[in-house]
Amino acid sequence: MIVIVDYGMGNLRSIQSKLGMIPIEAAISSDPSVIAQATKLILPGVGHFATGMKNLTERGLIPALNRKVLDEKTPVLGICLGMQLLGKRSEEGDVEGLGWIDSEVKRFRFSSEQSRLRVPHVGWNDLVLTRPDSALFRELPAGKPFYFTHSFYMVSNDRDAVAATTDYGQSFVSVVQKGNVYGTQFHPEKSRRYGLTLIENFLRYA
Amino acid sequence: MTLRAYQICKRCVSDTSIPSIRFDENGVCQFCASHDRLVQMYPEGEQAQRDLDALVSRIKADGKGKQYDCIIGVSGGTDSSYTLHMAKKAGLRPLAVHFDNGWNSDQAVTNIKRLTDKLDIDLYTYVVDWEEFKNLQISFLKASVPCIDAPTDVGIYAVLYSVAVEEGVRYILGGQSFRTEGTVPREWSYLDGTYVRSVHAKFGTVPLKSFPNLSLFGVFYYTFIRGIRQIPFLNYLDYRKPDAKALLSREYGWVDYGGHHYENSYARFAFGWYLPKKFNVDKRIVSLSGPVRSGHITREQALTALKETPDVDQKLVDYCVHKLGLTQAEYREIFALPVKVYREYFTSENIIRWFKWPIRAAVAMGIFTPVLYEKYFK
Repeated sequence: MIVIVDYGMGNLRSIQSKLGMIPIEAAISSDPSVIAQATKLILPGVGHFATGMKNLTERGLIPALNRKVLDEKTPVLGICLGMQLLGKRSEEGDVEGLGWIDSEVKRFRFSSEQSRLRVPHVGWNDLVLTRPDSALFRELPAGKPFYFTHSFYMVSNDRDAVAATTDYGQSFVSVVQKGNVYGTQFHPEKSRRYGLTLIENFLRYA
Repeated sequence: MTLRAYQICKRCVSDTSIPSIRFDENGVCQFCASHDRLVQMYPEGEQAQRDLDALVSRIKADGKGKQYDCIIGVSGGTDSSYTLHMAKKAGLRPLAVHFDNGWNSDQAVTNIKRLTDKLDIDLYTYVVDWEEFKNLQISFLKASVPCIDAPTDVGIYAVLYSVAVEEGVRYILGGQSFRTEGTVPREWSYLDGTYVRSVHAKFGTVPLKSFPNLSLFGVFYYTFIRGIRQIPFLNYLDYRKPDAKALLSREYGWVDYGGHHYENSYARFAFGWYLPKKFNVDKRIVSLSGPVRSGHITREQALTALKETPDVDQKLVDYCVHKLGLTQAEYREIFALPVKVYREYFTSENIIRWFKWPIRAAVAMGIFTPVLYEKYFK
């Protein structure tokens, strides 16, 4: 069973309805006993990092997620805030994350010459694949853009975990993969057919 | 050029500022006749509802198992925003596609965002290569023709078709409406990819590498090989602009900008300033004639509206000139060039005319829209 983790941070239904088009059934749940039975996990999320962590803690989901991801090696895909939460820490609220990937989250800050670059970074942007062999990129034609909307970005201390980067005033991590832990800064569920291909790849090959 | 006595249509407000205008024995223009033919093809009332229901079920059936069942081009203006709203209301699953030619107003972007967010519709934005596109726009200024937005219009169609192919979608829903917009005379807004290429070959300095052009061959390919249909969705609805605007601002916090196509600064400059001053072309004649023919406004109201000066100031002109990277002197020189028409450049018009009968047959079979036939052959 595929479980979309519900921790009160939005965009669950849109992911579920997009999976329905593949068609793949996925449950939305905030129940640790349901999460315990998942074969694949999707950790979506829109909003504030600290609120996200607080919600996960309050719902008692962190031990359940750690058990699944770290002990059972169940594949997990973090999307947008969900990817940022995979890391160790964020400037947003200055709190600790799930710590599965050795990374930090920072806010975009641009110099005055880059003033035309707006924050948040909203829109379609390209990927530079650093690990083209990642399961996520199978059958993905080169040069297809994906849909981003974020003010914070991930910096990875673990180079091997970086699967793709994107340029927006600077290069930032747009896809991570470390073992069974996957994450995309962009929203594959809003990125037309190639976004769906990527989710399908995760569900099929991860 | 032969001088022609001033004449204005007795039914709408089209006048002899349109070079190709013809009047019948009652003093009514050919665009009114064209309107009446289109009303026959897109009837109102119960028949309209039946036609719309049939169309929607066909789109839904063909789109089964796909992420989207139709593509809708969006600009942030009234027509496309209302199309998006109504398509979603009809239960369709559109992908909104926006062609960003670098001249968007912030309001346009906000409007698009508000609608797609609230309706939960995915939005794909195609952004042009600015250096290349800017140069192409300057080519059209130097060509000294009124159709200076042809590159944008051709680019929009090209992107819509290619996205439709990528997504495996067969329907492109458009926000054109003969009832509110009328039929724009060919000489004011002629479009075709060959024309874009030939004008740029003559005046351009930056080669077109990434510009999404669309040749006549491309249109045939997408239409006959790929089976993609352009659907003038609003023609099936009792579409009235003021009501649509009120609904959009009430439901989405959508903001009105005034004139037709004023969501884009370059279009605002073109329609509100450059065309009227250089070519004596006032496109409001077309967009006011539509509602007059449809009985949405009276002819007197339209004539009063035409007396108002378009709301475009020198600042916008300076902004556009600066953004194009032209000096004021260069712009003045361009502005002073003798007026030309599209026929003075290489286009595909002759080929289109050779295909008059096959195109007419395709219109009868519902493959091309009748509006296209009216525009090119009447």
